Amino acid sequence: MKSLEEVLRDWEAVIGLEVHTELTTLTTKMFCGCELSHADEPNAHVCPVCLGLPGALPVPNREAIRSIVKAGLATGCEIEKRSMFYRKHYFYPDMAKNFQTTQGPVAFCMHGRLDLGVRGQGASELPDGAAAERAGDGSVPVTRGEDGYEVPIRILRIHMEEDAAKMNHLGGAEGRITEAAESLIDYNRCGTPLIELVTEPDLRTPEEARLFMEKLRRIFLTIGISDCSLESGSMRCDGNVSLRRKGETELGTKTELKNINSFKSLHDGLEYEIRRQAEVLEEGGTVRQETRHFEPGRKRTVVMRVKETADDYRLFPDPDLAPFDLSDGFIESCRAELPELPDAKRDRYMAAWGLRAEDAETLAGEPALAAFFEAAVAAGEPAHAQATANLVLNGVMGFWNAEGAGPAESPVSPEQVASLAALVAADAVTSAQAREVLPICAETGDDPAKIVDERGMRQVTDDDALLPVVEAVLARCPDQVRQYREGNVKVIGFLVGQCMRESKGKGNPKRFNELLRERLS
Amino acid sequence: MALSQEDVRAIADYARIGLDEEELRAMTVYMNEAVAMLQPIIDLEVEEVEPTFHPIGSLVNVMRADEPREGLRLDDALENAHATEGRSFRVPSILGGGGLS
Repeated sequence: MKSLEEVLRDWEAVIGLEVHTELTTLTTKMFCGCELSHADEPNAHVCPVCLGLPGALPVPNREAIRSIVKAGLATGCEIEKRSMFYRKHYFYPDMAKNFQTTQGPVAFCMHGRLDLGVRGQGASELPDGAAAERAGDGSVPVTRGEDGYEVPIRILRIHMEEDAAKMNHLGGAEGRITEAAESLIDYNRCGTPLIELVTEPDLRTPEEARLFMEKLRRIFLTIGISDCSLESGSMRCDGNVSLRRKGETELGTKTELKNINSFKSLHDGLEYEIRRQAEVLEEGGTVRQETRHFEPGRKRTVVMRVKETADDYRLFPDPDLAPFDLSDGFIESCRAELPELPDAKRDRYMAAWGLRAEDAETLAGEPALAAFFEAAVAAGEPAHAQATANLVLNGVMGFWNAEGAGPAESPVSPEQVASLAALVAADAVTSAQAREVLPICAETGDDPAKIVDERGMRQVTDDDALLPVVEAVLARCPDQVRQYREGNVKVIGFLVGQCMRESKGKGNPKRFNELLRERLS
Repeated sequence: MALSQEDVRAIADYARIGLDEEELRAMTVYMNEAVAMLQPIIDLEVEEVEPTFHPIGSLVNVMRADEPREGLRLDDALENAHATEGRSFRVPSILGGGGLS
């Protein structure tokens, strides 16, 4: 198979995503008062409504409706005041009532937009000659910048629906349904409030799809409607992808990609699928409309289901559920509960503290992380904000991972991080030393300045102390001095190392480097 | 607008109802009688009429608080099941999937 880069030189990949998110932060199900189950025993939370028993009447959960309105407001959607629930019929035991309650042509949220900034290596997936506009009406312009490009991705709709039961297929290899003889059903998950977001087919590279999904996850986490775990399945993504020759406007036949449980799988699955389709088409074959399953271990997709006939779900309005006519007051009260969104937070970090864009984006993306970072900046000086960001991203997060902790239950306090960042900013310790200090902070609860002094870790930055070391090293290493002057500037690393040894690790390597260069020039 | 035997076969298929040829013939006659009864309604001119999906007048925005209510006890939930295993319902496997796509 050709590489993604080669394929995208000749072909344009058209990608759309369908993202399902369970509203895990609610207490009860969508249409009944059963508690949402997390890891409870099978069928511990079931009732006549979610088991589809005759005569049971569903009543929508107000907080679920509020959650989807917030999701729409946070993704630039128009909130449709008038909409209804529909019945989508299918026969499968994961939904005992034989239909899923979902929405029809009008969803609570329509026509939204997320702006993507595609930077660095990932931006190169989009070839130079790619179309500068994707919708044909000017609504999806690509704006190239220095280190990548910006592109708005349109959201078609976000609708409210309910999740199905969990099936456990017995027998057969790896629980694959085609091999199973029997299945066990646990209806705990059945009826869990689920919102489905559908994008317009505006995405063109696997990297864009990955970034869209990451950005959406950050927004949903920030507004607090879900724990958004791809791993556990509370956020799930299907990717639709088709190819067409560059410049062509007709869409090709698409395949649907399922079983994507990480951002990497989303990227790699789409990449494989694009390369596979290109091979089929270039050999004169045709792409079949089918559902394919991504196998991350083998980095390939396999056929799950071929669609021979269009599904007939006999979608019609649910007579058991009253229609909606949301008031301005309802919508505005949802808007009032929205916290600062990740993009606004990122922009604030950049404007107020001069943070680098990527750092600001990462920190602003996770609410608990952002809160920890802001507490650390508040405990120190605003001028040290970037040093604090560096320390959090390149030290504290690694420490949390190693300790199995996170920003919400951090073993080091924001005050300790602020103090440590100030030491790094003043060149009193290196970043590497700062990382060593973190576990000691956690263990002793002491101020990092005290720890650094007690353990003799404070680096000497005073030139009066450093210069004699530099002179001694230069005198001792005439060969390296000659090499440097002959143009082999890399030898400076060796000389810095000698200075560090001479100063027993206490001298500041950055300052040694500067002093050596001055002396050698 | 008579239904053919193939139409009825497709409908039975969707409904997961197995019909043999004899039953299929009988069901086709029966369903065509049912459609004929509906014919006066099908013939009405309703282009200008707003559909009445919800006959209960102006009822809108019916919602409940996000508060838990006791559900069914496990024994009651499983009582009418053909087969169970432990705390779960047990069903024969359904080949080729068929869940929501």
